[in-house]
Amino acid sequence: MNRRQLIKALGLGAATLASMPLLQACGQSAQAPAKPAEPSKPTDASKPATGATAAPAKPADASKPTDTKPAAKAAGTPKRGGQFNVVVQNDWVSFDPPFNTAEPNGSNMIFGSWVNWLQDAGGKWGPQPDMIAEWDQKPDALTLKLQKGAKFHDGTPWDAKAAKWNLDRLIFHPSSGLRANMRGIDIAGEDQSALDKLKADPNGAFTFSSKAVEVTDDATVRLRFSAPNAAIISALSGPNAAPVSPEAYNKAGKDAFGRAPVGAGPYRFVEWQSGSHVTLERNPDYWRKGADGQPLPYIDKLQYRLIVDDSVRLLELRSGNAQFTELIQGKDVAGLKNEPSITLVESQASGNNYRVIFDATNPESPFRNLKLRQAMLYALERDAIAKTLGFASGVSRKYLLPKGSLGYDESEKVPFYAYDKAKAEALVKEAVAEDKSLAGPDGRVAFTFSVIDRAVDKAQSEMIKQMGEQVGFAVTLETLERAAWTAKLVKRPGQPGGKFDMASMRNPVTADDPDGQWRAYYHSGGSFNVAHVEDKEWDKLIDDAAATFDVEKRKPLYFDLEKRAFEQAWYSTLWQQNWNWAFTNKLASFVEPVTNRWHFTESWLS
Amino acid sequence: MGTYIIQRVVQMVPVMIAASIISFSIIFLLPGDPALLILGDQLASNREVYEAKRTELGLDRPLPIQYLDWLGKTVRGDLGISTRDKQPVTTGIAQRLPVTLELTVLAMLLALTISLPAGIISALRPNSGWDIFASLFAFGGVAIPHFWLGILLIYALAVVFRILPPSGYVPFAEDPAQNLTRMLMPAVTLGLGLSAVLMRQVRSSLLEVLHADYITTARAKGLAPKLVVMRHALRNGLIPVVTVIGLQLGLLFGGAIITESIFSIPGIGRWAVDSILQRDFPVVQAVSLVMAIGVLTSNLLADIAYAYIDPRIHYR
Repeated sequence: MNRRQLIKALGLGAATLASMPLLQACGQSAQAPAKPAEPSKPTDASKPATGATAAPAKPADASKPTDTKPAAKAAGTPKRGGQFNVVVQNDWVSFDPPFNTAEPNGSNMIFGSWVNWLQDAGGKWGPQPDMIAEWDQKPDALTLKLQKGAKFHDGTPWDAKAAKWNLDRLIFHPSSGLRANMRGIDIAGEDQSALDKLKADPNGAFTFSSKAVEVTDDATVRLRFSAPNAAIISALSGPNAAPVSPEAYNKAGKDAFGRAPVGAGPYRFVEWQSGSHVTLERNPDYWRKGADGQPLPYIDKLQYRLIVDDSVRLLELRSGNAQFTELIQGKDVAGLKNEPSITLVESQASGNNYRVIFDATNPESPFRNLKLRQAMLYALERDAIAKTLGFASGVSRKYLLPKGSLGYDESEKVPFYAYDKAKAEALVKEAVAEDKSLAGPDGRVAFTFSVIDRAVDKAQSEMIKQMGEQVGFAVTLETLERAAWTAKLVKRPGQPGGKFDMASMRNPVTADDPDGQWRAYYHSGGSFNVAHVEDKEWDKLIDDAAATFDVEKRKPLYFDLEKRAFEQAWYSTLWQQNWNWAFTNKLASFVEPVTNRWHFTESWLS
Repeated sequence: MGTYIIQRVVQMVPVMIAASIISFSIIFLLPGDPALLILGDQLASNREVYEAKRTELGLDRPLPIQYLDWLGKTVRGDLGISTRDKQPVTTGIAQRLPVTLELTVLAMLLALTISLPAGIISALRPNSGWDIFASLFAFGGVAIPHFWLGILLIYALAVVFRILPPSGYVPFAEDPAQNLTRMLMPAVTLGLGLSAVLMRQVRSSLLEVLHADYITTARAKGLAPKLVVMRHALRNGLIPVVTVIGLQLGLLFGGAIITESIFSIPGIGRWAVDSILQRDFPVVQAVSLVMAIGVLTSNLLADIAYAYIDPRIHYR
């Protein structure tokens, strides 16, 4: 080989290496297009989920797994042992449930839940017993009967004393993220000086004992309510409510416990190296039994590794170095569906929801004008946005609640904003004709659209800008880092901010109790009420719906809320990126969760 | 030499103070509110809870007081607690700094291993086929972004050929072989661009020296060509290269941020970026300060290295 031939050979080799990802990408796009996401199987909205009624739940049969949706992979005979490697997108902040503000990956393996919100064999979502075996919900009291045989990893028994301590902590700890969800509890007679002491040392041992939560016997606690709260069971199903060992918490204190958690779940905490990984090992004393009569879980060790980059997570899965990952981008879904060694499960009930928001309190915003808000919402072509940005896993949305929720109007008689360019243009013209100060010299209505500096959000904002400008708006895009975006939208006492024209946001949506969504966005104390809707009428309607225990009476109340939301147009849902999970065929018996809290309690390695 | 080092260290003090002021205050210039991010939207709108959190974080005090308090603690080795994961910042640095140092040292070693022989051969045979190939390599090395090269390497070596693990980190003390196996691709990703820069620097510097009169004299004396290059040309030709290495160390820290993200390496660079995004100000302040110290130290080491390479240089 002469020098020229050598140079040619090296050049060819380098070109081949460089084109590998391109070939791979072309290979994916050249494959048969993925089937569009199947429409959600709506739950029978006329039959409420168990927790929405006052009826007590059936006790769980510890010898059988909870009756949930069949596993994505064919089951077979469970095998015990092995290590399972999971790669996740988001870093950990704390493992203490009510103080965790990040994705709690792995947390639901360390802790058991009070109840689990799962899909039953008939496809309905609802609460299923977990660490509570039975419950009896009445407007003035909630009685919880505890699961027998459960204990925390440090040996602390799961009894009424531990349950009361956990409920007290959720309700009264000044930093508890669950306080708003635990509303309605009768706290009038509590010892104020003890609560003040708690505020003075929130990081120390939690020793407060309330009157609102009563121990009735060793395995029963009762919560007293001054106002009914039909959504309390849903609140207890969330990962942020999970019970922890009181002994371990009081020994360590709040912050230290968050780094070395002790729960009663199927796995024990072993190690958390910030920015790197979390390791869990099987809890040999877990109270639930597997198909072989031995305690669950089947897999010995779980390791969650943090890999922020979406492409690298997929490469980890494809190389076999990891066996499970989450949050697959829409662009990668089609390719994964055609890989025989990988299973992709897409949720039909839950995902990340993209929406636009108008500021209800900014006097300088043109969107104080209802017609302009309506015009903007009619100008949005939701199907196009969902298909372009979500690829095969993007679904356009009509209402605040997702399909499958109690209060979702299956008949779609409740009005929604469907794309109508002519109507949008006409509304802009009408608004400007009524108030000429709304438009600039060019006759267009100018506004600033604030978005978070994330790839999908930015691409979405470009599409929305074009759609808005086609009907008479002049849109200035303002891309902000997330922290700056939050400071711009959220009102803080004594601080600037909380003032904008229009913004977009992304939030998880699940088919659990509808109160969560309505309260978060429209209630004056709502956790995501970034539109700053402060309307006593809204608060009353949301509170009334949440206090209604008869499901047949409750459903139309949520239809009314949807109608009211349509009329006022402060928020509008656009589309949803369904959650998805991909794993190698080594994993058997994966069950889709209603929230993004996937778990491996009943899974094994084949 | 000892006097010179002491002088340089003393000169570093005002620079360090300036760096500490910038490190401390830069996070407060960014829009966003640590208390808001920690509490979440709902709790932040509660005046009592919000103000309690600001007091807990010390954000309710005037900035100069906060700075002096931070400086006092920093001098005593207390860099505070991460507002995000509640870990002492010193623990975080102790865990992550060695990882980033290992990555940068390996990348530097790799860069030197490639660039020195390649640069010398190119300088000795200018415009030859080898020189053209080395130049193409250099241009490619500089032009290829780290994130692209990293993903390309993972795809080729971990997915297609399956000869290396795609990502992750194993401490050297735990398993040296696994550590080096996992650090190979990140080191190549980070070091390749640097090797290209250094190769060009070695080439041009050596070419210049090879045309100097004292080299002609050495050749005229009948010294062996190898001796002329290794003893007379290379030693002088490396002086500018050492300067570039000193400067590039700072850039390596910057490049490590991307490389650590791609290969999921729990180093200080990725930690810094995550902390900036989360307004975890104790971490941002500490990491900025550590990086400033790192850059100043590397420049000092480069200056000291001159004396060993070039006997004409005397420090007083």
